[in-house]
Amino acid sequence: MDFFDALHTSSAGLTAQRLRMNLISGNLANVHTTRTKDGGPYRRKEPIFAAQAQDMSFERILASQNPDNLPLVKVVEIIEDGRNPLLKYDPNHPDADAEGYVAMPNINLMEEMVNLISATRSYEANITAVKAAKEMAMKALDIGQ
Amino acid sequence: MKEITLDNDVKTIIDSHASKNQATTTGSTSFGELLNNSINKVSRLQNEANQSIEALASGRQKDIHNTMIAMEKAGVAFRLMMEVRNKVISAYETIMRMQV
Repeated sequence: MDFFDALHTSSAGLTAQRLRMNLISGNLANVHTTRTKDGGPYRRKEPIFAAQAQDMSFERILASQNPDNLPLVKVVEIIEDGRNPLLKYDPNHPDADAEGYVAMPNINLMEEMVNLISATRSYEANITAVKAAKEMAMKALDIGQ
Repeated sequence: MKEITLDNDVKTIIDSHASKNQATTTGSTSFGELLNNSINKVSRLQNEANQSIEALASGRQKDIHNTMIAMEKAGVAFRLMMEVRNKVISAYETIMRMQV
């Protein structure tokens, strides 16, 4: 386990949080989307994170008895929210059903905002970890001076 | 971005160190070889950072942070190499200043 492993882990965290941010942006942008490729209104999407071992080279496995002690985070799946669509009475809408109701995405703006803040803060936390790892390396290099 | 295209500088350091150290050591893995290997590693990291910047600029890669981290890695490795070089040079200068 060398100094760069900490950077790799943080890098995976950054990638994961960035993807989460993209999904939240997509959810916010599609608050009023009534048509999708699969038919019906847009459904909000959410990432599922899983811890995964670092890329295992033969050398690394050979060198360590416990090779997956520093897990990376990885997005394994993007799920669609199972909540029922909100029905809005709007008989003039082209997507309205026979009774005049339009199925709208069940997206709560407050909820998405909170998730947005959480994603931003998690990203920042990973950046801080990268900076701290770099600072440690730089401090080690200062020993020689 | 200038900082990480120092391949030529790295090569000159490799050459100068290799010629300087091979004369002094005769062991199986000489200090020169060791230095050569680590300088090659630094060079590889610089190349990685270079490729990462190219990928970002041409739109093949869209993660800014991966490029930044590659650049930081190259930077830290290069600084480590410079510290070793400074130490070697200062040792050489100490010897040169010796009174005979």
